Amino acid sequence: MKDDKSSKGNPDRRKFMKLGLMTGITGLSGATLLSNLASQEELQASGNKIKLLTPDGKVVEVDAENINKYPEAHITPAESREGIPNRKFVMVIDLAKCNNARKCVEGCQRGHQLDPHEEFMKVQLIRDNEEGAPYWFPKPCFHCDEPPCVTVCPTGATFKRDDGIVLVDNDRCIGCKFCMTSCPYSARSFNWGHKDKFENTDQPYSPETSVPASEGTVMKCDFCPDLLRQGELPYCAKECPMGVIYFGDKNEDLVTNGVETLRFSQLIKDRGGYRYMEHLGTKPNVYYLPPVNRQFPLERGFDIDEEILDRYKDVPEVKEYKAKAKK
Amino acid sequence: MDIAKRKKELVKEFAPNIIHFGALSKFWIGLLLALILTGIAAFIIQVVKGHEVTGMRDNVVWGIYIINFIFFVCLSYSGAFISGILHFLKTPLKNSVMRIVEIITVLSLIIGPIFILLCIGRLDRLHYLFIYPRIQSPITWDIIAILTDLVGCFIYLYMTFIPDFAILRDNGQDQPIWRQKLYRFLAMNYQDTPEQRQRLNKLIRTMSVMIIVLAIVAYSVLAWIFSLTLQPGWNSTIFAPYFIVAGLYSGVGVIIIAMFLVRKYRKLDHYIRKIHFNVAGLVLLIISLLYGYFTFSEYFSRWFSHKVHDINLLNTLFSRYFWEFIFANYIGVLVPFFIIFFKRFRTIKLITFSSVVAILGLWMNRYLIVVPTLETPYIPIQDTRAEFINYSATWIEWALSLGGIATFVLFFMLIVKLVPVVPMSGIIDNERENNNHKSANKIR
Amino acid sequence: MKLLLKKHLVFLLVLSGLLITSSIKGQEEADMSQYRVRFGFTVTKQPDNSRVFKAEFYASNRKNRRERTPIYEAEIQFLNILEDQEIALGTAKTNKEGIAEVTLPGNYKYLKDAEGFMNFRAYFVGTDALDEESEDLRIRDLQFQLDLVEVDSVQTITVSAYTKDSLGIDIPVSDAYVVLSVEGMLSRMVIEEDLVDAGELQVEFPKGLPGDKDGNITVFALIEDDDTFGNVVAKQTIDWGTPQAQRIPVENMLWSEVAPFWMYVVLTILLVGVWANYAYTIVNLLKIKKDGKKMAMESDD
Repeated sequence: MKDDKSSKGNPDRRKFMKLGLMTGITGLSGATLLSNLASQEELQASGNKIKLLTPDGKVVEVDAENINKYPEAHITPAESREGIPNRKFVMVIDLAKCNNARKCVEGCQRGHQLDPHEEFMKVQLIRDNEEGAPYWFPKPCFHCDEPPCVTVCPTGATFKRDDGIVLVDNDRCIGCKFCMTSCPYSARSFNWGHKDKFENTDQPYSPETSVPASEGTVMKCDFCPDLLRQGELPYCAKECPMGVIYFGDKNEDLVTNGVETLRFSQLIKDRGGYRYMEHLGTKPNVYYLPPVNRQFPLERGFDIDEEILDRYKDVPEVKEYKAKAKK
Repeated sequence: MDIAKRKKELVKEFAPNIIHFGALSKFWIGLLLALILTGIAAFIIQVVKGHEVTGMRDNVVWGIYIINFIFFVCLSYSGAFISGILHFLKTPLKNSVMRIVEIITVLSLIIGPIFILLCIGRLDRLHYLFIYPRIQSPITWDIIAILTDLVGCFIYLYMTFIPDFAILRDNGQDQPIWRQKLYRFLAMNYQDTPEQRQRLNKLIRTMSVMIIVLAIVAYSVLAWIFSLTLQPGWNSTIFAPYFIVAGLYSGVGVIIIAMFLVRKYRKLDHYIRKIHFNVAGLVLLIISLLYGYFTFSEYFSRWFSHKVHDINLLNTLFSRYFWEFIFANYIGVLVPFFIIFFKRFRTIKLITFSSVVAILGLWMNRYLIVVPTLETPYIPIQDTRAEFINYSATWIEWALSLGGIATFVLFFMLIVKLVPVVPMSGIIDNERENNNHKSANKIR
Repeated sequence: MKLLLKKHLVFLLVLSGLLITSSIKGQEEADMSQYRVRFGFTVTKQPDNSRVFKAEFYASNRKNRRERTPIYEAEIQFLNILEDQEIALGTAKTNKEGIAEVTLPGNYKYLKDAEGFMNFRAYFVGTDALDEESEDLRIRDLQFQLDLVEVDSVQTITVSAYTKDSLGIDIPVSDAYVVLSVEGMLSRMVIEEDLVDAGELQVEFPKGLPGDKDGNITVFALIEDDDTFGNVVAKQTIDWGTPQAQRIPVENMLWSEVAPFWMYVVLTILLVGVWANYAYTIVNLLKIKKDGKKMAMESDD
């Protein structure tokens, strides 16, 4: 069936063989991994699985954790205080495009292994004034340049890095919760429960990857530094089906939502980008594009769990909608 | 010698006495112990089950623990403040209440910080505060302030005790050997000679000034934990003086109640007299005016300038917390004021009653500073879980709070029984001075 | 064929039903009728002239098209075909994203047909559960070059694209769609996209783009999914960007690790003042003690 003769005497043969060998090794290590994965009983059920299909038509569920295992990229607590060199991360959220699909929330929860009610990214329904129309408002941590949370931390457990990210070192946090009271954006949450949520202890602790927070400590949106180190977008930006969330490096002046890449400065200039509650002087690194010329009616976002819709029950539009739904 | 004889009499009168417990005090001790044990049980539950057992959640991250913390620490600071002023002013009335004030100061400064420990998530990492200190954090300032203040108050309290230890040492021949030895050690060879007396008085006077300064600094630092944040209800420039006045209000109130109880149960009508209550009552009156003024000024400016988030807070205060607000900021201020303002109401019992009202009102005022503010953050809470929207303390928190208060009361009772609650040396000093002046009316 | 597959499936389902009591809990048989299997094949010529052969293998849910299940560990063979000759270029197994990749160096000699086209095939043998899959590409080798030169002091990007005929003569290409972009950390920003005209495309380089600290910036020219050329990439780095200002070390701020200087000063003054007073008090107390001792000894005498 195959004819190998033409490759004989080819000067590239050795190189080719090398390449083939390498792919073979990858394949081999993959096979062992699979056999490990297949013995599911030895695996802890973390609830975060991804589904794969094997060539023999079997569905294998693989721990999402195993997918995101980059042992070679372990970042120590000391390194995680430095940040990624020469970067200054910035997020732009286009309110005109958000229809509360909640994929950012879900993606973030999956990526960080959060419980259903733990949300680093929250979608609020905001109405600026009585006449104003409500709009969906995805709210991550703003990673402020003057972070009040970092200022008040008595142990330096939360810190601001050179790349602009405000991170929490859960091995340092004493759980005084002062940072939570000083954050004007309610971006932080606390692990009130008793069990350590981050159970993967076979890797050394790293503030960049070891979320959710261990018992009695504080956690929040971290701009996914582990993904950024691999040149990938944070979970929320990656998952958004509407391309609402742009993310990038301000030093490069580029932001991307995974589909298009734009000049950050141009985008802010053209679309009237603003920062939420600028008057507080916290200098956030998350910018919003105002909800003008909206692409979806507000009601598009009502197609969610009853329980989640209930969050917005004080907003008149939601009240009306619920009343109608009852009839 | 007349003085030596008088000392003997006084020792008899104030001798530490733990053998004689009346039925009533036995009942009280039993009750307090029960409360403390409940508190310990609650603490164990909180440790075993985690902070989930409290009513605190992501929005209201601080609950009644921190309110008790502020309350007790402020009580201590105001005790230090008052005792410093009393010493500095050399009023003849001071002697009878001096020691009560000092005991309250030290006790509450020990109990207060326990409450802040209760709301810390990782007690096992407490030493990180000293390993990785960040001096920008108001919490670091607070720790430094409390520790410094605690040391200062101990030194101060000890110094005021020295002459009494000397008297007990010189007149304690019938006491057990260990106690004699202890007195000998604690009295530090104090012989009550004029030079020694002069030197000690000078030291106490300097220390009293230091204690006043420390109290002001520590009060401010405590207030800054709140007012340096951006929260609408906390970010206020007058918080530091407001906390000082409020602390003094509760401090004077607690001192009046303690005077009342000590007078009643240790039968010291002779030393703690109506005039003490009258003067303390008048101080309470003045402070109630100041406190009311600060409270009004604080809420008035928020209401008048009506920034959105301030108004949200005021709306919460006047709807969900209406009666609490009325109680804390109207009844808690006006009732004590009117009782003491009219001379005919100025009886010992009514003054004590107004103190109770003042203290309860003040505690509620603290609650209204902490909880509603956290319930109305800048970005409205959109949640479906009731416990994340509104705070209500669980029985664990109440049990621990009552346990803390019970510990305070119990220790106070025992200390009052164990030490001369009116400084004997002070009585003698007063008498000596009176004899020198050949004055007819005896004032203590 | 489909019928056969269904038969197989029924059999397998029954079998797996019997086996389910045993320990293989994590592996369940997939109901393949729910899936539509997709098999994609691309060949990319990279800037260093090496070629990447990439096959993408996944099953998409018939009901929910967005639900993709990658097929994992499937062995894909890549072949170069000329008439009845089939030369194996390499095999690779799909990874967890369902992608198998083989890279061949730039000087590898592929078989070409008379018109100068190369025929490539990605091939999956097939199993009991999955059909055999095969994708062919017929591609022509493209000489694709990116030049960055200042033309009349205008920074210009020039793309040239031509093929070589059997005699080695350059033939300009005219209808290839080129996307020009600059490289960012997370993505590439498109500057311009246009057709190559007579083997050339000229575009002015945008002004004010930040580069790295030396102003270096990388420009990409891309031809994607072209019927004739497949994927071709060219890139070039040049210092046309605005040099990034060197990071100024963080001053002592409230939020930095080290506090503003005055805070240390004030704190030190306060603490030294208070504790010096304590020390003074204790020293004096000890003096009182010493005096008292002397007196006690004197009175004893």
